[in-house]
Amino acid sequence: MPALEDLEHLLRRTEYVARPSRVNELKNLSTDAAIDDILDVPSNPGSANLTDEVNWRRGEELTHHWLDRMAHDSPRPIQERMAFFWHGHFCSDLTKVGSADLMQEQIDTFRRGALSNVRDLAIEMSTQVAMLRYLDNNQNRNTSPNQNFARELMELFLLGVGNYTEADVEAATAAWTGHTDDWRNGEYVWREDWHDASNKTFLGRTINQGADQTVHGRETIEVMLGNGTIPGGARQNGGRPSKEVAAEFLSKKLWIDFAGTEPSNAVIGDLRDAALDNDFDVKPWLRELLRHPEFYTTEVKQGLVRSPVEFVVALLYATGRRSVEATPLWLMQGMGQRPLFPPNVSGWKHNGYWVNASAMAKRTETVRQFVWRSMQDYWSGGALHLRNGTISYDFVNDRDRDQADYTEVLDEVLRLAELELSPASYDALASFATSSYRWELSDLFHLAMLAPELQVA
Amino acid sequence: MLDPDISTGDALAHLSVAEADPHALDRRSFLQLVGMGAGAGLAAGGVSPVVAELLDGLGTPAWAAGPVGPTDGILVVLTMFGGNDGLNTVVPVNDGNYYDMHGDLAIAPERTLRLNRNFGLNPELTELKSFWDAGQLAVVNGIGYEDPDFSHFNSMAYWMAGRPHAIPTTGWIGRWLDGYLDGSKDLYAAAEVGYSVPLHLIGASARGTVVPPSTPGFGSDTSERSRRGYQAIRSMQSGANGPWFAAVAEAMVDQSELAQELALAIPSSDNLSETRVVAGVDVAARLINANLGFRVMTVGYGDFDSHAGQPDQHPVRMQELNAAVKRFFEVLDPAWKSRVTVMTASEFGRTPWSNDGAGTDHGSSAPHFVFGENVKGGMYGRQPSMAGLNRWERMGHHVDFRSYYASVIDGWLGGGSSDVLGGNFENLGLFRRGPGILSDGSIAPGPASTTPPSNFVPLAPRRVVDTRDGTGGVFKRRLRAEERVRVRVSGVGGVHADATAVVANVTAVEATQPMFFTVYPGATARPSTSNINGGPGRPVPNLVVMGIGDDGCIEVFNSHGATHCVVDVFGYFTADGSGDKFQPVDPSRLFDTRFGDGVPRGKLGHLETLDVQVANRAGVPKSGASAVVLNLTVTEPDAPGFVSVAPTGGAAPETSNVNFFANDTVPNLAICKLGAGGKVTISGAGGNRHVLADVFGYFSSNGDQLRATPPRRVLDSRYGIGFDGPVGPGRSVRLALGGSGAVPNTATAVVMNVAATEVAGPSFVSVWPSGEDDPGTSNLNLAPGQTVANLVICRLGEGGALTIANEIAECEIIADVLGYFVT
Repeated sequence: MPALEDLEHLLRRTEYVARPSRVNELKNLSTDAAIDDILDVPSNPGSANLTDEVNWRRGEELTHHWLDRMAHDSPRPIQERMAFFWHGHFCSDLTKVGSADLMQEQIDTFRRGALSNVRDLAIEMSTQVAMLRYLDNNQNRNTSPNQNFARELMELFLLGVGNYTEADVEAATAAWTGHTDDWRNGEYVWREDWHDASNKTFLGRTINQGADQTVHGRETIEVMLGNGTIPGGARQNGGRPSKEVAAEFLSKKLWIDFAGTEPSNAVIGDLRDAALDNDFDVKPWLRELLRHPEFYTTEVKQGLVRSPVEFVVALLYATGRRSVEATPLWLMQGMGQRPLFPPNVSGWKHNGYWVNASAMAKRTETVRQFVWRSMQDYWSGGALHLRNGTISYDFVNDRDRDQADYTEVLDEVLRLAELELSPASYDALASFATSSYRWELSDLFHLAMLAPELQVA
Repeated sequence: MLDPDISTGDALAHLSVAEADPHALDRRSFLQLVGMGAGAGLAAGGVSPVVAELLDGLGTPAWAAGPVGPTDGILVVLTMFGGNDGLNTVVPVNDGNYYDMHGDLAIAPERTLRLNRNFGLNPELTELKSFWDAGQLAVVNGIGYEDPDFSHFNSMAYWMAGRPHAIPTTGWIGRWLDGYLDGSKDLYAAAEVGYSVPLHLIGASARGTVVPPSTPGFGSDTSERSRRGYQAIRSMQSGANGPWFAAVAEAMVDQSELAQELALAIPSSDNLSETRVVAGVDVAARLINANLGFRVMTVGYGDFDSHAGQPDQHPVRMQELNAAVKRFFEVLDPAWKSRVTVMTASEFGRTPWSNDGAGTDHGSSAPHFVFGENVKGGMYGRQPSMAGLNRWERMGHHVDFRSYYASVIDGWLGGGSSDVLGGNFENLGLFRRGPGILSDGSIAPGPASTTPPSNFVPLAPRRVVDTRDGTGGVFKRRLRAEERVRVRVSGVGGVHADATAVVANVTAVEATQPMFFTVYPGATARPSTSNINGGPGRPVPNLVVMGIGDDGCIEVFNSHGATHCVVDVFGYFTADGSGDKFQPVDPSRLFDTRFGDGVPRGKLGHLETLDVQVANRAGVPKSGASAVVLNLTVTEPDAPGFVSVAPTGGAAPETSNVNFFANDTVPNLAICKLGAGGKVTISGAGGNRHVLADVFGYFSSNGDQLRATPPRRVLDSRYGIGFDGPVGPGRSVRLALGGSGAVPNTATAVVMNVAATEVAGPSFVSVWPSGEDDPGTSNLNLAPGQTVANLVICRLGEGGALTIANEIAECEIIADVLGYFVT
């Protein structure tokens, strides 16, 4: 049975928020059983139902639907968290892809395969039109190779930079020729006449020679995660099996995403072995990560700065709002993270990246908008809605500045939002509350939602 | 293994040492630390003035030396993310290989903006062409590095780090900042206009700031209600435990401080461009104009990664670059032009061969631009050859990017390139002159800055300039129209060499036409304000409280005709801890010879003197006051003459305060040292006249400190600025100054020159704190047709506002803020 503190830490990192309901469900299980429960994701999680005619708004619908799943709807939020991890790893961007439906197809793949197998996921996403468009492989042809996808597949997706030579890039580029799209309807198209089927040496293996030319591209993934060898001419890891290097590369990224710290060599080794022992299946890999003793060190538990998406999810949870009611999507861009719009092919960053004055300025603005949108009902004579109930206009109206009981409004906000604050945060808010007028509830609400406890998971 | 996620790795590395750097100091210690280290000429920028004032509970803010010095260079770095096609930016118009390899993407020679026989600029870059034509654009060809890396992330990391093929832990500007700041934290030394700290701004101890490319939101409002909120944030964050909580806390506090500062530079009513880079440079220019201390501003944009569809992409990027250059120099205050240089960067160029998919792939070397008023225009480096290159072969390079950086660090940022870059790299000599130097070798006037809070040191009155006899080493003739005289005050007549501001009576004498003087800090751009309104017939004096320029001078500009100028100094302000603070009192009459209040009744005659007891009267304490602020008025004179006020017991003054004609009623503010027994002596010459005085405050060890500002017009009722005129019966002005761009809301009192013009009839103007009763005093006495001015020092009332009233006859009122007091 895990210590309560460790269980809450585990839930914050895997399910965004340590929901009291989940704490209750898991607190009497063993740590391993609790982790298995967390990882027990539905195999058929469903998809968004986009209704708007306009592509841009379909993208907004898709985003709100995803944020709602993270905050409210998913029975196992790690599925959404990992889907978002893959979205930021094998990333595409709505602007360049040009179609919310193609983005949805890709994200559904990430969700369904969130905890499945990296090789399968990589192969599937490689020929989806979203990726073909995003990294220009739809323009990669024998007569005019375009290296963009082939290079990033190695550099950012599977191996890490420096673990291949320019010749490997050229070989992989050739292998991936021929996969393109029909710009009129967004359908995948195989163009055999565009394919360069000449034999190539890739990570020490000969590829591109089988009769089925449509699988020449995926061979590069199979080699990287299979029997390839990092060439001696590469900048590092020369002579090592490429699958080990890939396992280490991805283990490091997973660890940083969940733990926030630089992984130790021991962690890298343990996670690499878990990946190799299970042929790149994600679930056992994550299980190893979540039960790793180093995941429970003070340094790791001391905090992971919530990314803007995680922060918005925490706000949605605290207020119980549906995303469409409260989330100012345009401000997520300013905070630095809006789903469907990664900044570039390397995706989003972690932890310290989010800590700067400019990003924090956008967080405060986001919360202000969030609060205003959440208080519409209150301002029209109704109530302030929070996760576990409402605060009526009369309740607030009976309490005012310089009256001791005004802190009761604060207590009610915190209780209904399931927020536990440090004494310093509480005292600061209480001191603000006792010097504020009853019509300044939005300020109090705004400040409570900016507490450091909401910024760090 | 090199982490492709370079910013993360760096931020982690940086923040994990937070405990050991000044971020970890509490802010009070930090401010003190910065203040202690701040001698004259020290480079550290310190904490922004406005911010420190808005911090609650900090006690007396401490100060670093002034923001940007007159010969400090400011660098703006424009980064083009994704790898810019250098060949289509600076087109080698005579290179057949380029036209063969770039194919349809190539730009025909006649479409380029020709630079010389061999090169032409991309047709979109018209603004850069103007710099070229002015001899102010350096084109550095063939910049790259050995063994180029074709990964965006690696190559950008190397460029930003300023070190190829090393694990990038710090950036080149960050290491320059390490030396510049020498361990202190400064939000206002270097900034990225964007959403995150780029690697190039991260040093071993220093770290650049991030300013969003938008109008500031939360944190910019300075109402009492908002400030309670900021205080709550500050308190919440102060309890944060653990490195990440602490880091978030620091950023939360920083952002509200920045927002308060930015709100002055970027009012929320202003619209910034929708184009990110244009908005970015707009913000950069405003922050430079605000003179907060920024030496480096960086802005980045993209996407330049034109693997496909380059004809639809690259021209747009070039248009954006051009629009950004245009906008930046539109917004930049001309006073900064000789101090600002812009440079470009990108992680690599692109392949000479196009990929037939109408794109180009990751290349190697590329040309870059350095431009600005003091840049020595021309071609530098060399265009690498494309001869015989195969499809995937890249060009070589001729200029190592570290040499490019060294040229800017040593030529523009004051040196230190070998420390920053870890070796000696060739300085390409890109600059014609150092920062702030004009073509004639003189130092360009700079924008003035607000002085640190300062105390007053009164002096026995002393004439420092008189153009009638050449006193002060000035010419011995009238100032001509549009001519200025530089009045040295630092180190003169008892004024300390490090004085921040001076109190002087400036008199326009023997003017040939109606005219005004504008008085302003030396070596700064002349503001559109006025201090003395004079004309033929009579000398017109007025008191000024004026920040002293970096050159130790104030300047007096004459608008029309020919006018003699006389300057008498009565004291100075200093930030060295000596001197006294200002204590305003409710205005009250000190004496009036018409009624014999406190003095013998009856007019003063020629050369007659009158000792007036000040200590222990009219709100001035019995002891401890070193000087008094009083409005001295002469009335009912029977002939022309002048009146002087000086400390009792000193030598007879050679100065004057009020000049009059027969039957005038003329006031002038005076700040006078108290002499023996806490008295001042009134003297003068000429006609018999009544004299009276109202006390507005005094200086002693307790009270408020002055911050002299660049003169700034806040009210001109003729043009609807601050109030739509005229001002008259039933039409008084409520001038809300606290929290405006001119005066922060922590100001307790303002120093303001108030002038009345287009006067309809005899009247008087009174100024008092809003929300209070009319004290019955007067500041200006009006006669029809006259334009008169007087200095006013007045407490700010309700809402940080002043009331300016004229209850008898209409007039137009003009007011210029010269400074304010803070507790």
